[in-house]
Amino acid sequence: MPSKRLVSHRSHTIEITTGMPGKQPEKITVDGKSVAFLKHENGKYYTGLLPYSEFADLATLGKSLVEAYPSFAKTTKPKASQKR
Amino acid sequence: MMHLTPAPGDPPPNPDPSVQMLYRNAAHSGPAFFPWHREMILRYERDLASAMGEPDFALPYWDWAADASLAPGASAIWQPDLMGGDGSGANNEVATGPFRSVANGGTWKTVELDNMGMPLPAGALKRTLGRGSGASPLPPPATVTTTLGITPYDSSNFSQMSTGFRAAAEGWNPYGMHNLVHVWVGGSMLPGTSPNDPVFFLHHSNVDRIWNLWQKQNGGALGSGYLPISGGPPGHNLNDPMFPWNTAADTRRPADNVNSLTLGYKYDTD
Repeated sequence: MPSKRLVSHRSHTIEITTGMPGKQPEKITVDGKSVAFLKHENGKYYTGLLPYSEFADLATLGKSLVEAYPSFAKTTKPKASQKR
Repeated sequence: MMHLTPAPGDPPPNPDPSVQMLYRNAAHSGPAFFPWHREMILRYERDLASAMGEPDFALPYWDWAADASLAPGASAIWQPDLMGGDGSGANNEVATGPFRSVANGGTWKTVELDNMGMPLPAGALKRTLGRGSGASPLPPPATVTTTLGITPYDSSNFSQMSTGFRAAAEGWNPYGMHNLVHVWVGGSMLPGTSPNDPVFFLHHSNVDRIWNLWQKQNGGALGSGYLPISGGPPGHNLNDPMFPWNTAADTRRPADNVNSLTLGYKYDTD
């Protein structure tokens, strides 16, 4: 049964879902936006948005993203014409 | 400046930039980490020499291990006449030295991207020397010595968690070394736009110097030891062109960069 945990940080809402079936049993969103991450064999978490860091847990990863990208929630997906 | 470039052969980019480049790319988390960054800092060095009108200019290196026992900010490198100091205030903006923010009377502006890779207005250089999340002390000399003793250069599956010198020195397995220095400086050194902080180049010159030390210690000569010769991920084999220098007009391979002597330089520790 999946469980959800909400973490508030600097007025942003970080939602962590665990216990999901399938290959990716965990999920993290920041203000509703899904964040891609990798879980290493050593149990640490990695995201390409902070490419030199590893994180002990998803809550720390989410908080660090909010610190590094203060506009996280304000951004929207680029239109096709804007993609690099 | 963004240097998280996907390599040819990497999985097709997800339309959502936030899920791109999760793992290995042309420059990171693979064997080409060293030769790719050698190319980057050499081109930067040449551009800087040209801009200054000093053709003999050479980038210095920051031996961060030598500073590991100092209090954060105490090293000569962080003084106002060199790279400037720690960030301060609510946004951790650098307020001293040549790269201080406009708000502090400087002229240095950073290139900023949001989490979707879209441009943001220019910003100020930020640092959190040794006090950010995950910023344990700088790697000490003993850690560098241990890393220099790791062989081979790299091993299958040539990733963050592969065993060998490259994954250890890049700072994935075990975590530390190059990666930890980025995190220790913090602020602008954390995202893929880390070259916004000029200390990036002094840091990577030191990483480049450490590669030379490893070559001499384990292969006996500069230029030795690179793996894989073939069979590795595209862009990372010895003779694969490295993205973005993979055009007919501008081709650079790891093989072109493994020996610093053939590139015209060496370090005082070689």
